[in-house]
Formats: sequence, structure tokens, C-alpha cells
Amino acid sequence: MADNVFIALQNNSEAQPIIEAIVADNDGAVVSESPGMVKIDVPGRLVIKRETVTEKLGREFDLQELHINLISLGGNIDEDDDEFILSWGV
Amino acid sequence: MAKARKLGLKERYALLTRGLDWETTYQPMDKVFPYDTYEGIKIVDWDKWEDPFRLTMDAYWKYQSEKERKLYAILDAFQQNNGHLNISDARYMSAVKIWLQGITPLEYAAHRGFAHAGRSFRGAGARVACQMQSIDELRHAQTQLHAFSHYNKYFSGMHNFAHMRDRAWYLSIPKSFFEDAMSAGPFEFVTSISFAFEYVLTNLLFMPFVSGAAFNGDMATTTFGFSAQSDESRHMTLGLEVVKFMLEQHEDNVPIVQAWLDKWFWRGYRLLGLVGTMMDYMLPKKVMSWKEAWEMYWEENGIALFNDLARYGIRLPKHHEVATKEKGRLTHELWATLYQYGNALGLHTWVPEDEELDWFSEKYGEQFDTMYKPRLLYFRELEEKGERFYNNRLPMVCQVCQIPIFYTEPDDPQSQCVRIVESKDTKHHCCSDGCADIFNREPEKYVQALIPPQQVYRGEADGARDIFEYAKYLHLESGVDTGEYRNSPDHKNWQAWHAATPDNSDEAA
Amino acid sequence: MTVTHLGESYDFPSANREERYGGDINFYIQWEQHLLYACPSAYRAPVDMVLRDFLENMLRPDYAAHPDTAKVDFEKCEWKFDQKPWQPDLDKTLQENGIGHMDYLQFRSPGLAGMHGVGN
Repeated sequence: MADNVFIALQNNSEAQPIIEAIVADNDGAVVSESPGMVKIDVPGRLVIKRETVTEKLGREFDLQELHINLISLGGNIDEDDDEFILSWGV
Repeated sequence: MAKARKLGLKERYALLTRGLDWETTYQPMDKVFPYDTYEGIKIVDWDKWEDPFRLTMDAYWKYQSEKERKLYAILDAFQQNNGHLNISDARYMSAVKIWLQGITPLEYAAHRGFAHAGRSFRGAGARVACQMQSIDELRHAQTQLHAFSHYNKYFSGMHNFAHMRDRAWYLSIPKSFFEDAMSAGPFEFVTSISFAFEYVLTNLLFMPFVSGAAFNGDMATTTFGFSAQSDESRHMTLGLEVVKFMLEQHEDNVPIVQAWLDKWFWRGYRLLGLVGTMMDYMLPKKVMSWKEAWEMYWEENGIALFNDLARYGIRLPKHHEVATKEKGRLTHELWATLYQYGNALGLHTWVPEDEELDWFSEKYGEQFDTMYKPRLLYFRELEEKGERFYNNRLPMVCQVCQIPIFYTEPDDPQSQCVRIVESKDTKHHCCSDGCADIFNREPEKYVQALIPPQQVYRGEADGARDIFEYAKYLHLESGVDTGEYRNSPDHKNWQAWHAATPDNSDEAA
Repeated sequence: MTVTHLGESYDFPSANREERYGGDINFYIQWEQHLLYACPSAYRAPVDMVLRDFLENMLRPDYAAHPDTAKVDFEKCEWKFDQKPWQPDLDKTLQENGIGHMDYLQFRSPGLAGMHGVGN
């Protein structure tokens, strides 16, 4: 069984489309809310796709905009212009 | 798409961290960079270093300035709208005070430490990452001071944090933690701070605690806390990257890295006891117990990380099981300690209200009900008789983590845990096998520690002879900045401010 | 093990070495089963102080808030010295009892096992 990777974002309106995109693109995503923040756990691998966020947001999204509302994460990162991936293992 | 004519993320990052660097010729590289070899870490190819975020300077400045604009807009609103009146209760301020006195100076120390580490690495990728982090940490220190300056106008104990940082017994805990890291080589420094502390452990600080600040109406701390944490994600990533980089570069690095992980997991865990106590005791409205946070962020997320590192031959840090055994007692033992040494503490302590005791019973179960609740109720009984409990005798302190030795044996929470270690000219005391191991690995380093009670007894704290004179040496005003919350100036002001507000009946006991 | 370092040597004396106490010593005591007092206590005292005087005039007042304290008979206590069983002579000095710099004493008071059945 793969350990969970996770990402935590500020719970604000800017982060909402990102959260929606993560839920849409990752089966098994578990969203937990605490005051001020949202934590999303996914077994093994989590992907954020620029295209999906762009679609939810209604404007072009640069994946590096993630930095503004990012709180924390767990997993190995691989990022390029189109995808931001968190995973355990190689 | 326009993208075709623009350089991609990976190319931009490669140009910054490869193309801009050069080999020195006037002096050999080993003389220019003496620090990145003596620790024994072998690097075959620095170009294998990669920042997974691939952040370039232009993007860094762009996003950092955006974070600052957001943060300062909120801080302005907070100050203009008397945000200090909206916190759940003035008891909450003890958490803010400990942050200002203990954590903010660490941000500044990290700024210095990463500037030094960045200068020490000959690989450009590592240098760039350290440079960004050094700037981030300075930003954190500054934004925290700005945010807290508003509270300083209304509450006690925040007037002289820099003076206290260098002197106070409970602030020598975070201070010595960072000085231990900063006086090590650059690879150990980055392993200790970026990996063991930031990746493995600071989720416990910035996530449940800052979420707790939000729940307690502290808009200032929530805002800078999450703003800092967005940088922290990058630092954590640097921490994991440096560890994987060392492990991938040479097999001889594996035992060195493992020893650092053992040491810094334990030191970080000991330091975080203060955060656990902030979460459990200093948040009047509670979000998550230390025990739950430990289970979520260490037992699940932390262990997942170590499972991932197993492929390099890395095992879980030594004594992690002791930390897990202590999860039901740590904060209760530490709060009782802060409570009784309150005469030399720049924040207030108190016995929790009945509803809070019920919450502890729910979260900690029988162990709380049988061991710690009767102790708290006894404190309350003495206080109601006008004999508020203080322990004015200076304590034994751990030579490594510098925490007064309040810990109990891992398998017997009714017996004090003390470990005696020896150097060539004297004996010393440690709080645990974890700290004793750290001492025995580098005794020449830890024998130099300035342990506050010993400093007092040697007459080196401006001649202070007891806890009250010692408090003066810290610039703490007895009964104003220190001791019991009930009937303190903070408490009385809080009641007066809220009595004057028509829609807020005063319910504070 | 030793510190990995740059330069010739890395060797420093202990910050808390005995010579810094002007003839006095720094030592520690813990009263077992009385965890109301969270930590072992630290003391500085002259080596020629009689142990009984130390216990009655310095230690007992420090623990005054505990209901067991007034009832403690130090003569009947069970003692440990650096975590090993030990028998002091209360009418001799600290030095004559072999108590030196950075030593750690513990005592248990028979019949007085703290409060609440959990050694508080």
C-alpha cells in the first residue's frame, strides 16, 4: 500500500480552483479542512495540472502561482510548465 | 501557443544554476570553498543538484513581493481595526509571547545560517537555494516583528525580546538548538534545519498551531504564519533534496547522514515540546491536541518520508519510539514545569478552565485523568487559598537540549528520567538517551554550553542569587510580565476593554 | 567520538568546571515520587556544610508547598548517589559524605509516596 502524499493550501478563494482541480485529477483524494487551511491527502501520487486549474479559474494559470497559497507538502516534487507532481518512491 | 517562443521552466532554471557559475583560477576551488569537504561528505557531481520547484530569481521576486503585498494589507487592516480585541482570550497571548521571544529570533538565526551555508557550497544550485532561503528567513523575522508590534502596545512581556533571547533559561532551548546547527558544517546545517526541522517537524508548528491561531481570532499570526509557511514548503523541499543528493552522490555519505538524522530528529522533537504546549495549553479554543498532531504529522507523514528514504539505506531516526511513547504526557509535564517556574517566565501561566480539562480527558484519556488532572486541580486548590504554587529553586537542566529535566522514564511516567554523562573534567546531566547519545558523540562541543542555572550559581548573571533577581536580569517585571495570569495586568486590561464594549459581556473568570 | 572540525584541534574545558565555584560545589537532588516538583533541584553550597543543615535549612523550605514535606524524616529516607544505593551520615559535611561537584542525589521517603496515588 502506498503511503499518502499531501499538500496543504490556504483556505481562501484563490486556492479554491486549485483544490477543485486536485480533486478532479486525483482519484482517492481526501480533503480535510481546519481553520484557515485545507489539507489534501492522496495515496502514492498527487498531480496538479495547469490546464485543469486554468479551466476552473477561468484564466491562464502559471503553476508557480501555487507558491502564494501553499502551506505545506509531503512527497518528492517534480514540476514543469504543465504539471506539478508529488510522489513517494521512484 | 506563446510558450513555444519562451524558455520552459527547466531551461530557465538550468541557465541560472549552470551557465552562471565558473571554476576559480586565481585560487584553487578547495581554498575558496573549504567548508564543503571537511565534514566527510563526498560530492562527485554538483550538477546533479536540482531544485524541484526550479525557481528562478525573477519568479522568486515576483511571488515574494505578491506575498508581502497581501500580508501587509492584512496587517494594516488588523492594526486599524484593533485586531488585538478579537482574539479568543488574553491567555492566548502567552503563545504569541513565546513565538516572539523564542521563534522569531530563530528566523533571524536561520537567515544568518543560510547566508553562511550558501557561501560555503561550491555548487551553484545549492548556493541559489540557500540564498533564497536566507532572504526568506529575514522576511519572516521582519514580518513577525511587524505583526507583533501591535500586540506589544497592549500586552506585557514583549518589550525586550532580544535581550531575553540571549539570557532567559527557556529561550536558551531554541537558541542553543540553532547555535548547535550553525556551528556545524554546511551539510549538517542544511540537514538539521531544512530536513530534520523543517521537513520532518515544522509541519507541527505551522499547520496545527497556525490553524489554531486562526481559530482563536489572531489574524496577525495566521497571516504571517501561513505566508511564512508558503516559503517553508520550498525550504522543506530543499531539505529533502539535499538529503537525497548526499545519499545519491556517494555511499560513504549514508552513515554520516544517518547520524545527523538521528541527532537532529531528537533535538527537533525536544524543541517542539514547546509548540505542543502552546497548542494544548495556550490556545483557549483548541483545534488539535499535540497527541493527534504527532500521530498525523509524524506517525503518518513523517514515517512515510522515512519509508521513501529506505531505498538509500536510511532507517527511522533513533529513539523515535520514545517520542511516540511520550505523546500522551509531554505537554502536561511541560506545562506543569512552566507553571511552577513562572517567576522567571516572560509570559503568563494558569490552571486551565473546567471545559479545557474535559477536552484533555477526551483527547488524552485515562493517563490525563489519573496523573495530570489531579496535579492541575491541586495547583488550583492552592491558588484558591491564595498560595499559588511556584517552585523557586533552580532546576537541573539537560546539557544538550537545555530543557529543565522534567521528563520521565519512557516506560515509567512516575520516575524522573536523568542520564549522567562524563567528559574528561566533569560530569553532566541529560534528559534522555537521545540527548546522551548526542553528547557522547561530540562531548567537546556540549561541555561548552552555557546552562542558565549553573550560570546563576557561578555568579555570572549580574550576580543574581535567586529566581527573582534572575528575573530582573532578564528585564522582567515581577507580577507584571511573569507568573500567574489571573489578576495580572493583562487579565485586568482584557476585562476592562471588554466591559467597555457594549456587545461583549465579560465572562472571563 | 570527537567533533569533526577544521583546523588543528578542537578541545575546550567544561563551562561548569568546579574551579569556577570558588571552593563551593554545584550538585543536584531529586525527591522521588514527588513529581509535583517537576525537576531535580540544583544547589550551590560550601563543601563543609553539614548535610543535615543543608537538608533542613535549604532543601526542606524549597518543598514547603507539599503536604508530605513537613513529615519527612531524612534519617529514615532511602538514598541514591548517582543512581546507585547509598547511605549518607547526616551529621557529616557534604565533603565527608563524598558529595562533590555535579553529583546527583535522590531520596525516597518511606510512607510518603506523594499525592493522588501517582507520585505527585
